[in-house]
Amino acid sequence: MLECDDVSRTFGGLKAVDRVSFTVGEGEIFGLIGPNGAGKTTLFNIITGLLLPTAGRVRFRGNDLNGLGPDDVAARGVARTFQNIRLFREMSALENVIVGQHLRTRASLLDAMVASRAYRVEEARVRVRARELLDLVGLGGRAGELGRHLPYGDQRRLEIARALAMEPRLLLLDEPAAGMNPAETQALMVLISRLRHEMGLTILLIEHDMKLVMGVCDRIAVLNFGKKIADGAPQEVRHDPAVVEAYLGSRTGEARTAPRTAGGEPVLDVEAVSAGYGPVEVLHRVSIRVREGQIVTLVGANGAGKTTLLRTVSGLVKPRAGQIRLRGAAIAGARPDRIVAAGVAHVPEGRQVLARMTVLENLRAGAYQRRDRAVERDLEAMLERFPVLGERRAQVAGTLSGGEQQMLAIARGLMSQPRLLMLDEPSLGLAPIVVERIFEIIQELNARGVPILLVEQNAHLALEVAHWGYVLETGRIVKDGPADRLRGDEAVRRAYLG
Amino acid sequence: MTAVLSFYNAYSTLILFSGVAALLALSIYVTLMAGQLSLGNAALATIGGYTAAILTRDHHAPLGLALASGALLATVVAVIIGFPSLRLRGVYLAIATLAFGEVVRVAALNLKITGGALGLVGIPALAGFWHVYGVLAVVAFFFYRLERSRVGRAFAAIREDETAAQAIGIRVTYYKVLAFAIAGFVSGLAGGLSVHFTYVISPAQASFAEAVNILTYAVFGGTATFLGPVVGGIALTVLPEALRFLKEYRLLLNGAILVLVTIYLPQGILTLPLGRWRRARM
Repeated sequence: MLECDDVSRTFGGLKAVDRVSFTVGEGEIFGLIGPNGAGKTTLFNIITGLLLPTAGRVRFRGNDLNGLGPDDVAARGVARTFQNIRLFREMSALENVIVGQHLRTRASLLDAMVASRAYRVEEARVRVRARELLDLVGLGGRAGELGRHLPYGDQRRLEIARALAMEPRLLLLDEPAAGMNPAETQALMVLISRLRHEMGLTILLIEHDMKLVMGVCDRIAVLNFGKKIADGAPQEVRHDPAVVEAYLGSRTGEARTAPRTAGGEPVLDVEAVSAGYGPVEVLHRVSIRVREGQIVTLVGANGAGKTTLLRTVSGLVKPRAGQIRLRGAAIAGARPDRIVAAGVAHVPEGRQVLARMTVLENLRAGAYQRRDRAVERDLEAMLERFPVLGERRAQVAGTLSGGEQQMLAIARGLMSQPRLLMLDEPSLGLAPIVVERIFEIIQELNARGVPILLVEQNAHLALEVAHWGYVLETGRIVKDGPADRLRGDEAVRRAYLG
Repeated sequence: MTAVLSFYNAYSTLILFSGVAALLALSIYVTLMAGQLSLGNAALATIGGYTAAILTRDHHAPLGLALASGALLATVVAVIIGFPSLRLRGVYLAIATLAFGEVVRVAALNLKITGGALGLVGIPALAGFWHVYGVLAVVAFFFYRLERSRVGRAFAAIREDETAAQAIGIRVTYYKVLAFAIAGFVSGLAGGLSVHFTYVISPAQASFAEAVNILTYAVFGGTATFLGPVVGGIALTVLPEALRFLKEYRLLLNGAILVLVTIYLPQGILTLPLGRWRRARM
């Protein structure tokens, strides 16, 4: 049905997808898994014609898809959903599914003007069909609601209904269970199986929820750093050592010794905080504590709520319940700029350097809130501490490599003289040797007295440098303890691989 | 009856201008339906106006033929500018289409056939109430049905999310050019009609100010349905006249009303009465 043959795609110097080959047979449910940034969505974008592959070919039912635009690929029977839901937000659920039948309608503008028989029959048909599809995904009762008013899980189901409206042969689902609660995920698994049996669909899906992947997929391929590292039946794949390493990260061999420190006074206290976006609650009564002198790490799978917790501490997300204290002073719900002024520096996921500004300008921006005269002196000290940045002080930040941008983001955070440094996925998308260097820097900073809250996908590495660890699973802390004891703990493995 | 007639005689130009403004507002509405902010409609109307004027004044063509020719030429030009514009989004498209308007204005200033800076005068008085409002009724009906058709839904899908629209098989390029073509036709018609009751046309009609006026009609009325631009065009044409009793404060209040509408009714003045109606449509 679908053949990917040595497909590659590079962005600048980065190999997002690197010579990936696999075949999906008719009627099969095929899973594509791998850590963040492994190239899964890029592969979807190549198959659906949103991106051209730099090499290799994609064949669908024997025909080449290379060079076809997304609309042509859709016309050949390939439908998809999107990781970051792309509904028509200002349309009702029913309208979304009606628009989805675009390829299955023919009536011309002239037909519509004179309300010809063909037009009237077709309009009636698309409405009936749209209702059937809404019933199928369990949204029959919400046909009139606007896309943007639907709860998150319903939005995902509506996207599936819209894709089904095209009457495709192959359906690509990009993280269909993201943001769903366990009951919804269960219902989704039933739906996916029904689609195969009742509509004869072939399904290719990307998913982080291992229960779903293991439950519905016939076969699985695992990607890491753009390369396929394993494929086969779910049971074989989940115990493959290469897969376990890809998810949990590798150990560095020479085990670092994060000295066991009891830690000093509490710097950050998060007490029973709940938070979320719109209708979704992401964090459920989460409590964590960071003490003076500590590196505390928060590990857990994609979508567990790690980033949301950091965003809640830095005021970008308002907590719905609970209290956050910085050295005893309540900061929950305060404006982000006030929280920065109080001493919290947040180095966000994806670094987010100010791409069009130079290195120096980025660093000065980090000191924006400071009024003291030591800024220039600190700036020089920072450039000495990060010699790469010193060499490139006049370079535009967007042209730095990923590792250099990460260092710049950390240095920028430090320019505010924080009492707490929060790092979100500092290793994301970086080559192993660069990751090593970044983690050395993190330890050096900590040795100089900066308390650090570290969020990391690479659990092994994070637990090697940290003093204390928390395991977050679907918005709840399921375990915590001294970091060295969490290493190799079953709860950690389960949080990632189910 | 005589009261109605004397009212019409006193305000006929204003009433005709209102109808033309409604047409121009609809012409920008169609590109907005497909998510394209195009500001070339004043220039397209000018092309339609010159074409129709030259045909009736110099060649004694009947009004219908002149209007159709002007509208068709504007359509062709709209498609020609539509293709390169597809690469542009948002404010860049707006700037490019404004630049196109400037090209038309300068061309009209310098060409012999358009009468240079003075423009064309002595255009025959051929368009009356029934011409303007008859055309408006037909065009409004067209939009009423367009919104309920496969094409209208494709426009809406592109406006909401181009990537998702492509992924369900909508040929985005085709529909964007189609929206430009309809915009060209409707604005060409509006331009052709107006010269036959103002009797003159000059390059100033392709100016920046005119382009922005047309956008204001649509924004003021609201772009949720075709009724918004119609109401907006008529209201904003009548408003300055209705405020005449305020003398020198007239434009001040006119501006204030615009500001208040954009702040408090960002979806246009039809937001309130139409909220329920729009939901009931599907």
